[in-house]
Amino acid sequence: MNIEIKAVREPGVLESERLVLKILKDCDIGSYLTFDTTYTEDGSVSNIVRHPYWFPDKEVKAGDLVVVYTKTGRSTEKNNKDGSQSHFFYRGMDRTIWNKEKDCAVVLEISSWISKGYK
Amino acid sequence: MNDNIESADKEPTTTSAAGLLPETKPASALSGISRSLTEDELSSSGARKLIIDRLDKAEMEIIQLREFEAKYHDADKQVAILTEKAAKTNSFEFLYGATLVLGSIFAGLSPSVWDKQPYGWLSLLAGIGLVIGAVVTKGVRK
Repeated sequence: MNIEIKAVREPGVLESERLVLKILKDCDIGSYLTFDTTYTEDGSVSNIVRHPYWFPDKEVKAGDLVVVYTKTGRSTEKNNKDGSQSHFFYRGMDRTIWNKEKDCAVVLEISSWISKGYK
Repeated sequence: MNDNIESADKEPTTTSAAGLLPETKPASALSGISRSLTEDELSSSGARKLIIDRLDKAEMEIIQLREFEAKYHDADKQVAILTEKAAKTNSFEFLYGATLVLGSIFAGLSPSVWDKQPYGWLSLLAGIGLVIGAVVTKGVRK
């Protein structure tokens, strides 16, 4: 996994609630999907997928931050003092999602995917 | 380091959500493949066949799109003509209505000025003339 989950900042505050990920190795963030779920009683992670967010395709570099805001916004980026970049994405939700105890963030790496349209 | 991350993970203040469109994923299975090919890779028959196949498909699509482009320009012209016609029709309808109302007013006023001839007759004739003129003009336009 080329990504590390750093933190969920300001949970419960829609304007600033965000998931912060750190990139450990150059990669395409579009190959990752994140969602929130809960810890089960035995300390494992639940398989119930809530609020999934599949990142748009974008090349990111080691040391960059990827920040996923819960609210609505336009994807953007900014340069940091240490030369790295922060990439901002938005889930487009109108309410907070990180407001319960025992919540946990999950990041999945997608090696391949398929799709099929239907009428 | 943590302080650095905390300031780095705050969004820029210029972010605006106006006119947002959902971001999409390319559905082609080949979209993730690197586009830069070496001379050796380009010289292989498989790569050439694939490129020719893609060229054929692209040319077919160009032919189809040209048809659509011509149809679009025809439709655009038609819309401009019809819009102009509709504007003229609206002006005529307004004029027709106004003439009819004016004619009715003149004809309706004639009894009250009947004692002051020739104004009574003039008012009646002008009223009838305007109403008949409006109706005949509308009939001719149809």
